[in-house]
Amino acid sequence: MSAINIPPIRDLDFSAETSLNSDELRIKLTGSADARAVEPLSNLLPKIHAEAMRLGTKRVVVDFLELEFMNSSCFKSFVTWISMVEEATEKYRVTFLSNPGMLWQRRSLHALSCFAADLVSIEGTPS
Amino acid sequence: MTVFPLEIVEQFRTAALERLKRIEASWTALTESGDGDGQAVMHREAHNLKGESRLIGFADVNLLCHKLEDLFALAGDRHYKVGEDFDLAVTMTTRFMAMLVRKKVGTHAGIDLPGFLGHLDEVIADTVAFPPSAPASQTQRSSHRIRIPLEARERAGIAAVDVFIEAARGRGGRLDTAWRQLRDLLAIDELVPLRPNLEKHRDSSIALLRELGRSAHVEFDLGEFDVISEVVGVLDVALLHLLRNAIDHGIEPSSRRLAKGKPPTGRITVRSKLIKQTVTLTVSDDGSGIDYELVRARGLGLGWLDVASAANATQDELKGLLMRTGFSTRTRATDVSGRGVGLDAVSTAVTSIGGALQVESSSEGTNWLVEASMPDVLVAAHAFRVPGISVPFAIRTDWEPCDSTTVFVDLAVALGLGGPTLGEVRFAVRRGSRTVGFVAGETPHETSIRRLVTTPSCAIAEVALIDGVEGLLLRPERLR
Repeated sequence: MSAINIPPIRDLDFSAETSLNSDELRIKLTGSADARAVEPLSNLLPKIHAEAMRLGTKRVVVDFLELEFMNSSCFKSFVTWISMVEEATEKYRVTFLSNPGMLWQRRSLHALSCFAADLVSIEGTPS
Repeated sequence: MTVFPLEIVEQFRTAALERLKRIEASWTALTESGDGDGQAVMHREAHNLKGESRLIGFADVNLLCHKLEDLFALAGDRHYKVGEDFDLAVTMTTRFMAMLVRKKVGTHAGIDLPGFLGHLDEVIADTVAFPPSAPASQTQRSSHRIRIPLEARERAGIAAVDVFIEAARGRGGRLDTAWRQLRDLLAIDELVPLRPNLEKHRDSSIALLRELGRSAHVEFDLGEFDVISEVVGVLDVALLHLLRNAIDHGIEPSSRRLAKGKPPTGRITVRSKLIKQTVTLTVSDDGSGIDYELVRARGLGLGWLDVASAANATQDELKGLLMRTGFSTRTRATDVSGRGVGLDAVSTAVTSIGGALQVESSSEGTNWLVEASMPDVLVAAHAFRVPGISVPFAIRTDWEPCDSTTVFVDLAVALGLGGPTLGEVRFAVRRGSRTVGFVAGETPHETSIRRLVTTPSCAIAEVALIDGVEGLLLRPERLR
């Protein structure tokens, strides 16, 4: 298994842990992504993209299942990231694991998937 | 369509991306720090981008420019105090547009524009459900308020009433908090006057007629009545788009009207009525009517109908096409219409409150009808208190006081609030053949109460404001 060079985010209320499994990069987000998470998240996602490109990753899975809240500023980082994925020459798929009990996730992620409907998918797991 | 040299297209791309950066920066400054200087920049850049994208042939970008202007208008009405959803929608729109600008022609596979437009319509519909004229006394709503259909709200109201009753036992703490959160989520909106909220469209419709060189009398007959603010918001967005459609698609130029034997000046009539608890809004014009054959051809051209279904499509099916996001009988969007989002926005908004949208049309004109039912908010009731219980009670006045009954309900016992009550007053009410008696601390007095959290008729009570205090509006028939 190739090593990945992405330090985790571990804050009081929010954390982001990245792991690599075969050809799939996983990011698990937990807690509440408010104003304090904006900068770390906006730094993290370009690193994820760079690492996915370096490793030739086929899929990046973003786990929102335990993410209770994300403010619009944090979500904008994902918009930037998906735009990067969409415009990259070597594309990889992005799957969001969404908690169907959280309406904000469903709506925002659906809108995000419209940017690259052939690359982005959303999977829900009952909470 | 004019094909521009690549150099011109690249110049447009560069300029458009710069405009989008400035729009996003101005929006962020406005919403985060209230910096109003960026407002003019934002509107100007969006307006310029709209014109340039139309000229160069970036129809999708032009379509989103119109949507962005709708978003800015809504936000401006609210002094840019918008929720997270709305803020994100604006940013997503500018980023989506940037992506479309950068895309080479024919490489739009994977981009779901109709899906994105549908999302924006949802955000807009949610926002207009809370018009800026809502009274300050209204319970503070979270910017993330979820719209819950009335039927679901009533079913959830049963649980909310249980929480209210438990909270009434005076335990405080989490139960009080839980009751307040449920109340904020489920309570019926405040009543607001409808007429002033719709009247504003008169001047803008006259201005639009002038701009398009059309001539029409515009008559508003709105009545004087109050409506819950959620319905006001929906009727507001419905009237905006239906009027624009009537003016741009309906009313013909005077010369064409004369050739058809019509008076040179058209007529547009807007009427609203409240009959019992149903509000109706009609927008009628004596214009050219819906061209169903053009709708059929357009549906075929967009790939939404195949040849066979296009040939067999009924008028009702063609009307359904009109409401779909992205559909317009115009092949090019103008500044007024052709974006294919207006009727979809109306349909989405009306459906969201369980309302109905109908249209009848012929070459003599078109008549749109919006119907929405709402619960009665203010009701006449007999109000009373029971010793030992902190909340007041009420019974609707369709239950009339009577003298005879032998069975009396002790509400403290019936609701699990303690008891037996040491009330000295016993009174009875009758409706039809049913009689129910109560033990109380006072003789009931007649008053007007405001329903807060409603429940279906199988529930024993609802929560209402009784003489300014939250209490229970009882269903006596459920208590025996």
